[in-house]
Amino acid sequence: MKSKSDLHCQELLNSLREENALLRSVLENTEQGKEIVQQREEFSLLLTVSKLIVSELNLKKVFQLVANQARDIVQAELVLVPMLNESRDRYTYSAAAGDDVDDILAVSFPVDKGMCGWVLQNERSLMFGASSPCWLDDKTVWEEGQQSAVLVPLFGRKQIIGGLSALGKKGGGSFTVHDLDLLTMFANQVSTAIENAILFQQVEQEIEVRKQAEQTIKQQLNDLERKNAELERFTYTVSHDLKSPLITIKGFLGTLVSDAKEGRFDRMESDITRIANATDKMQSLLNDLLSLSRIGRIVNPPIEFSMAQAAQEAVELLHAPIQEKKIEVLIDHNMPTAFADKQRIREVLQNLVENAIKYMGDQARPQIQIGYAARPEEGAFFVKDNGMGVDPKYHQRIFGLFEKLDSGSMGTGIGLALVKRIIELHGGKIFVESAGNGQGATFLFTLPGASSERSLA
Amino acid sequence: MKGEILNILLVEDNEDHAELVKRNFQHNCVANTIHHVKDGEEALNYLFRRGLYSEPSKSPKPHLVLLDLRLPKVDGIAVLREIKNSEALKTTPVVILTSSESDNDIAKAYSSNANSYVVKPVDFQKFTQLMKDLGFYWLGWNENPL
Repeated sequence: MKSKSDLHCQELLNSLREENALLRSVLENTEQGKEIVQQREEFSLLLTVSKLIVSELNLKKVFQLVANQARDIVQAELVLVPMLNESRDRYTYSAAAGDDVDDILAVSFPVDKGMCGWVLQNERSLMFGASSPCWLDDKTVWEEGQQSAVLVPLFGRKQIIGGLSALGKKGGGSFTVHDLDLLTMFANQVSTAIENAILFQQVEQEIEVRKQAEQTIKQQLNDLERKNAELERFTYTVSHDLKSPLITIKGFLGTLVSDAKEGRFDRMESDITRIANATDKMQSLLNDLLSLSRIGRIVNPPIEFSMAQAAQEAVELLHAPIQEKKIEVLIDHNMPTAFADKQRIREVLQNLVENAIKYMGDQARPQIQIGYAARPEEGAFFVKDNGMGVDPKYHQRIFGLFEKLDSGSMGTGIGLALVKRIIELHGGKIFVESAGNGQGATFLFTLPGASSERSLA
Repeated sequence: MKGEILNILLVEDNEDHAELVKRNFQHNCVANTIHHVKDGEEALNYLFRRGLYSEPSKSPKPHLVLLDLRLPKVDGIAVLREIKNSEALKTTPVVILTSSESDNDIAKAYSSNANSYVVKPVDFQKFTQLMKDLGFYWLGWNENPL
């Protein structure tokens, strides 16, 4: 037998159940109820979407996510994300969701053009449908002919940064005020994410720029150190080599004076010749130094030119000594073209040929070849002779400033230093291959501007 | 030992400078013979009696080496090192006679056991005085371990 209170409970439970069922049926069947359920779903979608977007920092991905999700939320055929550019007088579609949208991206418009422009300029939403057509005449290609659209602004922390434009309700019909509310809410949710991603991208770009700047500075520091070392060697050489003739001049002048006092005249003439030669030497040293310093300062703009022609010109300038020593000169006319300071490269060739002539020795059939060698590492132009050659132990030293292997030979010893400087200024390398001892020498140099293909000339 | 003719090996690529040194040493009171070679390679040939200098009468052992630094082929420091690394030659005084005042050269010369480092004066009076002093000191006052 049930107690009275038990009975009461049972009744209460029944009535609760009934109420519950009634509520459910209300929720499921009435317009209002349906709306509540739908709203709950929409809110939870909005929330997940926003969370997804907020966690993404890649700007391009953020824009695409925003476009895709907005399209889902308001059930649009096409969603565009117009973003104001830095100068704020134009906007660009940073993302689009819909069919065949590839050609929409990255197109930019002035801010007074199109519905998006209107939203960006007025910082207000825009909506139209079948019952209230858009009053704007000036539309962009993708906006033209749309039955319905809803556009909302995207606000950053300080100002408007862009907008969301939903065009064409899926399945026909028009967008509703509810769509406008949803899109506005969505825009408010994602605008921070977009702004963060923009900032992040700016910071990343800034870091990249700084990294590059750092790299450049490092490079410049290296260059500077190298130049400093070069300068030190240079000053040393100059002070030594300019001092030498001075010692000679002063020394023999002093001797002349004391000889004159003693009435000794037998060696006066030869001593005066020594003085004269020393002044000549000084003069040519100074001239050489000037031309060396000019190489660094005066740089002709690089042009593409035929190396064969440059070689021909260099050889013509040395016509007299070549004739005199009966040297056969062979120029490979299929050499690649070069992209460099033509005048300087011709100087290089002239110096190398001059060197080859000077150190030909007593070769019975003297020959100089100018050509191009395709080597596995890097192709190189060459000037090859069958003269005296250079002993391998001097292969480095010969390129030093005022270095001469033979103190009796003509010249100041600047030629190869000059050549090396020119080649290095062009980013190339120069070196010599020779077994020495009358076996000839091949001077090779690389030029980064040389085309790998052989010229047709 | 005194009274013998002292041999000097002059290693100098500049013909004029060699001539000035020779003339000045001829004025010195100490009797001497100067053997002049023009580059580092020739100096080593002389010192180690190679090539043209294989005949000992052509290359008497020097009492003093006057050595320039910037030389063709083999530079002065390399010649100095060869001398100081050689059992037979390492006691021979080597005076560096150069126009270089570079700290680096001075340090390198002494760390390679040069006995003295002298910079050629540009001024003629000083040059003459230096040659006189060098002669007096190295060939007069200085006791050689020969």
